[in-house]
Amino acid sequence: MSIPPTFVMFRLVAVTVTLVLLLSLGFGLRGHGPLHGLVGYGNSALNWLDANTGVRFR
Amino acid sequence: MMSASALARRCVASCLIGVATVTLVGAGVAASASAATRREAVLTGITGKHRKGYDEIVFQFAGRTPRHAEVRYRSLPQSSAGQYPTITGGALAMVSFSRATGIRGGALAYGTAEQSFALPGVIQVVTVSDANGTLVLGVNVARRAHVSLHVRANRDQVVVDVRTPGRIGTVGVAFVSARRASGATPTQSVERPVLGRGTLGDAIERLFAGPTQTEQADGLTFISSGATGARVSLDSSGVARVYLSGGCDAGGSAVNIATELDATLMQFRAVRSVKIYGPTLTTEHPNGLGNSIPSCLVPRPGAVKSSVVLTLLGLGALGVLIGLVLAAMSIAAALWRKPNVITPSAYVAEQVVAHPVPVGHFEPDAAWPVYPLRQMRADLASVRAELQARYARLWRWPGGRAMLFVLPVSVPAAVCLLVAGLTIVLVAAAFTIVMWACAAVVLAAYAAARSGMRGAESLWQKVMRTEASCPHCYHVTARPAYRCCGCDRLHRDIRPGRLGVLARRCECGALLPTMVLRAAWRLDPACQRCGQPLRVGAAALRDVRVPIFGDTSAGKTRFMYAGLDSLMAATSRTGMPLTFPDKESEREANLALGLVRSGQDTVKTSVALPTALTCRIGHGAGATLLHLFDAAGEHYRGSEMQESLTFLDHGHGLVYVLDPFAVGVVNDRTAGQSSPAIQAARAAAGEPELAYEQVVSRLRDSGVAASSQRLAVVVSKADLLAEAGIQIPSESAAIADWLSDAGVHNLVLSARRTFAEVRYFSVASLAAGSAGQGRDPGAPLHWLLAARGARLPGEEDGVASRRNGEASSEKKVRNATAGVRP
Repeated sequence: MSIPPTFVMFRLVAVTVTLVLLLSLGFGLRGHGPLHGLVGYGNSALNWLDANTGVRFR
Repeated sequence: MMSASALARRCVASCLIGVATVTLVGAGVAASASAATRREAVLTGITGKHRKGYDEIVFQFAGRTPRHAEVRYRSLPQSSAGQYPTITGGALAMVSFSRATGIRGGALAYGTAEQSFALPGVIQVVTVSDANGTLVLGVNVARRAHVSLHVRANRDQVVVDVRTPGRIGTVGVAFVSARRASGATPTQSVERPVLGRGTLGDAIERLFAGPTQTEQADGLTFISSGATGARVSLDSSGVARVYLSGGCDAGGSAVNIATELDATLMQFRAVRSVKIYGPTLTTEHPNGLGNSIPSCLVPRPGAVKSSVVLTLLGLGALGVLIGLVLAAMSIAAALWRKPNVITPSAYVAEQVVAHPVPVGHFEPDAAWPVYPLRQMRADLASVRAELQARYARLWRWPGGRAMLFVLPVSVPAAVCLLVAGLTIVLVAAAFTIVMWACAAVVLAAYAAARSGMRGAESLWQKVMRTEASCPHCYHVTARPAYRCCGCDRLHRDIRPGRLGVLARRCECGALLPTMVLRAAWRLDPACQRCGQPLRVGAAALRDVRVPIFGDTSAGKTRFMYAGLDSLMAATSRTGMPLTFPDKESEREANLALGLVRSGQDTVKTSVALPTALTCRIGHGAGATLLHLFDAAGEHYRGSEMQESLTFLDHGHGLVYVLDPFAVGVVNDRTAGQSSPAIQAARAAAGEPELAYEQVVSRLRDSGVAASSQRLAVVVSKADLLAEAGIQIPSESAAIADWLSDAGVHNLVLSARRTFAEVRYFSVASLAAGSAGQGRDPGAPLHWLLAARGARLPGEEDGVASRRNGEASSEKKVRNATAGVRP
């Protein structure tokens, strides 16, 4: 029994949106992308590492 | 010995001398101070403000204004090189005051020697020299523009105006904040108005100018790390290269000028990375997209601490990678490789368990529900189960889970697995949120579409008076069932809903349209009760049901086909189609119409329950389905037989066929006559009112609101009556009078009281065009169809004329009921 094509479409859309969301989150932490606002938190973490451990990522 | 008086005199003299001395000294000091005040004005403050078209710098003096003041553009003094920021395209305007100073009490009276301003034209004011009664200040401007100076003597102010032509934009400049919280970003960005749109160079200029005095009071500071200036360039790949000048030494500090430069330049959307070069034009990573700093800005932390953190970060990255891979594998397995599919049958079973079907109702249709309603939850559960199973396998270690805490690699592995678990949780949460968000959007759209489509269909059915009538069991419903074109399965509720809005997919895979209006032309309708096929277009077209009743041999069948022949003739004259939607009706009609048209007698109606004769009048969505029910007269002689005639309950208008030869008066007058007309009449045997009374009694017992129905009383065989020498009028009211006079007054009175509207017709059941004036057998059908809104050819005129006649006939009937003779 084959499932309706709409099921496949819905699953594909959900997976794609999730992927885009995760990538956006990643890029947002990198300072680019739609979640650019998160760059502040990312920089805070990096600065904390920088100031307290000396580990630099840039 | 000194006498007392001499001692007193000596004391007084000493006091006088002292007072005089003090007075002279004080006078001398005051005189010298007064002379100094007269010689130099003291600068006590510098303020700046942007006004429309120019920046205004106000030099506030104490006591008096300088003797002379002037402003002009000059190049930087050689000895002061390096004291000012590097300015690309900028200029320095020198302001000099004679007989003025900025020093009071050994300190600067106007604040700091270098003061920055948040102005578009003026960047900074610096002290160049203050000696020999001449105070020289440098006004660092962004662009060489017209500058003017004027004195406000009454306020002891000297004002310098610097023009700021063109557009004014803003740039953000990040300074190190001394008041930042622990762990927070070390910089704080402030805005600077600039001339033009604001470039990287503008931002660098404002950064090296430092914070304003207000910002300094707020804890902002500029860490130059030994640099006195910088120039910047931006390439097409978004890499900003900053070349420091003057010097470079961060002293091992992690917070240095690179921190400020990175934060300042990364605010520009075009900048993707910042590479800072030292005075030797070197940097650590000159290529690639990552940020880079020169070696002079690299901090020097403890090596052990750094390696531990790096190790932990590496383990975390590995855990994230493992978590992402596991999540991807689990989602793929749950959705595609081995999905838990909720089939329509399983869904129906769930629905029946959740909502037991009451007696007389049907189970939900076996079609695929829309994805968000059921399958989505099953998919999410599958994904969750897959993730749990796969993650649990990661913790299966040789020797049991306890070995995890014994083996040398235990702690790093545990850290890695914990990070992987956290990543899996995050991915699963994101996937679940996205699923529900998509479901919310889809369901909202579905709900809106469902309401709209259902509303449109209800409106259509109400306006067009559509219904689905079963010609076999006489069941009437607003929506018929439809047979699947793939598997012949019945779908009983085809409305937009949980199984689909625009279309639904049967369990067999066939795609079926929703809405009666769409399914009526594409699927085979079936009766909700008996499952027999309905007429094509049922519930989508106007539905008119007309039961024809009367005694045996009253001429019901012949009237029905003669009326149908009349309708066909009337519609064919105007090009309106009249067709038969089913083979059975077509065959029966063709057979009977042939007999009527050839003047032969129609076949006696079978005593079996009749199947409706259905014809479709008109075309397209505005057509009308006319169902004619003709049962044998024997059914109306006993109440038991009438029980099965449920079509009477659902009739929109009833036709009572009355045989005039069965009326006592006519029977008496024709007794003994042996004319061919009398022989052809074959008068009905029973009382003419008997069948009527039986039907009215049945309607009353069944609770049918006969008061909302129309009744057409058809006096048949008018042609034979005329041949027998008895004339019957053709007007409704006159026929009613004629019947009352003939002894059928009980029927006339009862019909008037029972039905909403009664009309009397005298017809000759002959082929179309042969009946004669006023004897058209199609007239009763015309009248009943018009009552249901069916528009037939010539109906407008006919209805109007009949309405006129109706008014007079109604009046006459009332007179008759009151015992007044017409």
